[in-house]
Amino acid sequence: MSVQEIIAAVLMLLGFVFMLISALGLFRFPDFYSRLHSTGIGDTLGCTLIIAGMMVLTGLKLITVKILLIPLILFLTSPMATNLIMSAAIHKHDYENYKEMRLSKAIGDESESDEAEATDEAEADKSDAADSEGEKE
Amino acid sequence: MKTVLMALLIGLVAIVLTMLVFTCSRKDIYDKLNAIFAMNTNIVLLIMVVGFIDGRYDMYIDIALSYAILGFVTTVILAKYIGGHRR
Repeated sequence: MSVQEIIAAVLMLLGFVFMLISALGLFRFPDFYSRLHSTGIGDTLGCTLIIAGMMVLTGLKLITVKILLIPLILFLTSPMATNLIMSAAIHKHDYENYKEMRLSKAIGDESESDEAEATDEAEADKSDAADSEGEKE
Repeated sequence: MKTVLMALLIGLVAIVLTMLVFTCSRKDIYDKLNAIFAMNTNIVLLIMVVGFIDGRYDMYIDIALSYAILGFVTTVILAKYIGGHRR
């Protein structure tokens, strides 16, 4: 084995360790959202290290640039796909009362402030009524 | 070098198989979707490793690239389809 092959083997095995960590996290993490987080490790560091090992193995050719396209595409696509899965799951599971929060934000601040003023007035009326009752007594 | 590549191949196949078992055994559909997308990345690397063992990796790179894009499109369509119409 030449020096080039040894470097390539070390990089590839290191990348495989990260893929293994990612798969282990997918199995062992307790929550769905933390499992989403563990997928990102394999998509970034594992993939990059294995592809870097392959680039070292091929040497300086035009194919090396083409191999570099694979982590580039994965870097572009994997956050987008993870984001889509996460937003779909948040809408379905109604994570931390997300839908109600989003709807109240979409309606706007005016109606909410109006509601708040209305409740304040009602409370004020009640307190006035209580005060008048107290005066009567 | 061949032995390292073969070990990598066996390890990646084991990861893909365990993710397949995970996909079939879970109840939550978003968990399945996440595992399928993680499996997609593993299979792209698996195709590259097979190409390096075969020796004709210049051909396998194209297959891996098209598989990566296809897996992304599949995940986007499935997430949009399963997520349904939002208000």
